[in-house]
Order: sequence, then C-alpha cells, then structure tokens
Amino acid sequence: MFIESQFQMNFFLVKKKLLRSKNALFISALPLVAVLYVLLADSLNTALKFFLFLFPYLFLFFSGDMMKDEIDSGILENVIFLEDRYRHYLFQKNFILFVLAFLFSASIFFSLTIASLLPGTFKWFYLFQFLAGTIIGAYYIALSGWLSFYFRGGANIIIVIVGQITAIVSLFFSMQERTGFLYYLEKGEFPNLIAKIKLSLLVLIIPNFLITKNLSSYLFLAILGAGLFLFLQWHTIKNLELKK
Amino acid sequence: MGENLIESFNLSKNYGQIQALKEVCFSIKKGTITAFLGENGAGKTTTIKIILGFLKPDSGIVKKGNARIGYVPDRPLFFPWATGEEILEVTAKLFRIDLFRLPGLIENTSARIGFDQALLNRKAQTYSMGNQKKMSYLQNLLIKPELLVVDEPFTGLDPISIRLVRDLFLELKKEGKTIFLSSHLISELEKICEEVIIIRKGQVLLEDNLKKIRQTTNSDLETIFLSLHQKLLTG
Repeated sequence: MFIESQFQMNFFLVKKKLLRSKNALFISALPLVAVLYVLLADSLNTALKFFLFLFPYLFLFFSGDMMKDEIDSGILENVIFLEDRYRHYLFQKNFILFVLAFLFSASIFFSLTIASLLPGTFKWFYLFQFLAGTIIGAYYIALSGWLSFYFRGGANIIIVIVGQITAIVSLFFSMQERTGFLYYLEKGEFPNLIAKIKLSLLVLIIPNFLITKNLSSYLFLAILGAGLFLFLQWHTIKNLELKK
Repeated sequence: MGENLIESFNLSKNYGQIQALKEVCFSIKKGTITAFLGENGAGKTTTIKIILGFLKPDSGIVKKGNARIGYVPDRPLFFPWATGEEILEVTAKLFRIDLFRLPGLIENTSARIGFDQALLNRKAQTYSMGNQKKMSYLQNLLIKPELLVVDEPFTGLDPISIRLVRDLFLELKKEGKTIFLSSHLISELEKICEEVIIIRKGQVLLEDNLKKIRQTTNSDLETIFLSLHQKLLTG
C-alpha cells in the first residue's frame, strides 16, 4: 500500500532531519575543511587522495542518531507510521542516508576530479577508489545503523571511531609481534587462514584500508559486512515494538 | 468480518512479570462509536497499540479489514524539527492528497476542531498539549479514515474544544465512519457512544450496546462501571 509515496515520505523526513541537524552538518563539514586545508597546504593530487581515504566517514557521520532516539521518543506512534510503515521507514533510512551521503561525496569528488583533469594529474584508479569508498560508506551506514538500536545521541558514531583508534594504537604498539601481519597488509596477500581472519576483523573495524591499491581485491569483505549488519537491522526491525 | 472492522481473539501481552492483557476478545462494529473504558493501567493503550501494530501480542490475533485507520494518541509527539505545515504536507504526500487542495482542506478541518492555523508555521513540538492533540486530529481528518482510533480523546483540551471534538465524532459517525475511543472519562463518552467495552486488569469485563445495558440495569454508564469495579473488589 502506498509504496511509492511511502518512500517519498521517508526520503523527505530523513533529508529534512539531516539538513536541520546542526551536529550532522558541522561534523560533515570537517572532512571538507580538512581536504581544503590539504589542497592549500600541499597539492590537488594529495587533497584528492586524502579525500578518497576520508570520505567514507561522511556516510558514518550521516548515520548519527539513526534509530534509538526516534524509537524511544514516541514520534513513530503517528498515523503516518501505522500498518508497519514505521518498520519500512527505519529500514529505508539506510538507503536514503546512503543516497544523500553519496550525492554529497560525489559532488566534492567530481569537483576535485575536474580540477585535476586540467593539469593532467587525474588517475583512473581514483574513480575505482571512489567506488570502493562508496561501498565502505554503505558498510558504515549498515554498521552504525545497527549500533544505533542500542546507543543513542550519536554514541553509535563514537563507538566506531573509538574502535578504530583502539585498533590502530594496538597495531602500532604490537608492531614487533605483528610484523608478519603488517607485511601481509603491505603486500595485500594473506597466505594462511589466521592472516585472513585477522584481515577480516581489521576490515570490520577499519574498512578504509580497502581503498588502498593492494587491498582492493578484498572489497567483498565490506560488502559481506554491510550485508551482515543490514540483516541484523532487518531482524531487529522485524521484531521491534514501540513500547513508549 | 461481516459488520466488524476489527476483531480481536484472546489477546495476551506480558511486560516481564506484569500481565498487561489476558485473553482479550472484542470487536469494533462498523459505523459505530465504541467507548473502550478502563481505569489507569487497565490495558487500554496496550490493546490499542496491538490493534495498530505498534506492539505484538504474546498470543492471540487481531483481524482487520481493509479499512483505512487513523490514530490520535494520548499525547501526540512530532518530529522536533518539523513545523505543523510540514507534518501535514508529509501526511498529504503519503496519502496522495492533492497538494493544491491541501490549504482548503486544512482551513475547513481546522475550523471543525478549533485549531488556530497561524500555529502551522511553528514547530509542532512547541505547541501546548491541547494544540498538539488538535494537530493530531487535523492530521487524521485529512486522510479521511474509515476507522478512527483515539486514545484519551479529550486530554489537554479546553471545554470548548471538548465540545467541538464531541460534535466532530457525531458528524463522522453520520458520514458512516467508525470511531473507537479509549478513555477513563466515562461521562464524556457516555454522551456519544453506542457500544461499550470495559476492561480491567487486562481482561474484558463487559462488551455490549449501551442502550441495552441501560435498559437492563436502569443506571448510567458511570454507575455500571463503578459497580462492576466494586463487584470485583469484593470478590
């Protein structure tokens, strides 16, 4: 019933919420400022590379306060969300946020691309990296969306970032013991099962590694991760009750 | 389903150790105003939320026809960023109401419930409780529901608005709509309802036609409600 109009409504609601959220706009502007800084301090090429590594975070930042805040607040107990429409709204948020973050990122990427085409510094691999970053962005939305069923007030984003910092710090401090794994990481080859498991775990925490050339063949891990967390979200939404 | 828009069979619901509903059975007859009465915590809101699909029963089923359902909650809440106008726009989009006709519809409907249209430019969550309730009525009336479910229909409303809302229910009934009102304000509902369902501690105590009840007991609804309550207390 009303499938098309329902999606239009959900799109309108998600877009408006995002545009009226000062936190989301401020945090989303940070990567943009960082890229601008690199552009001015270094070169267009470095800025483009920096952007390609950083832009999946836009997807993550867009997914703040995705579920729990609205579920607990009681606003879903409205006539527009009757007949299970609130379940569709919650699940479709993933797709809508993805589209909005993609459009925002693509506009920056294509601006930088056009600028780098003129001096002839653009490499086609950047386009691949952009697509890889988009997949990682989808993973971030799926993961952060699932976390937001349990943590409110943007804590879902903080958890992901703290997890990444912890992983990087622990890699750094155990460099001696992990030389084998770091070597595999650098080469982009993981010959044994343990190394493959370690890579999978690392990708679950810091998927941005997959944007680099030597790890791009492992992008399917981000797709699998996104699928897993979307499935978990779907399962949670299917059993959800509005108990307020 | 026949003449019933909603039929519930043996609905049970627990919140942890607390049994909110125990094998609740009742039906909502098409074209009637039904009062769903019960003291605080009797299980009225839980029952409504199960009917509307916001909660799942632990056991039992709800049979619903294809009627378009409207819902006015006890304390309506809206997206904190949304103005009244935006809420109505979203509702109109969802239910495919012609956006050119929308201003006229809003004007007519606002007059029916005494809602000040000047408020529409403000965020709905900043409205007084009464105006939030009216906003919810306005939103529901736009979609022309065949069954309107209202939890505590008069919460936050002033006496003039209560009168307007009561008249509205009677007008809707004349238009062939079905209205299901849940409240503990018996005297207000007695003036307009035809069917009565009384629930206590998650169990339906009575489901009947108000006229019939009055004829057999020779007393008003409030007295019936209190005597049922008393009977159960004294065992």
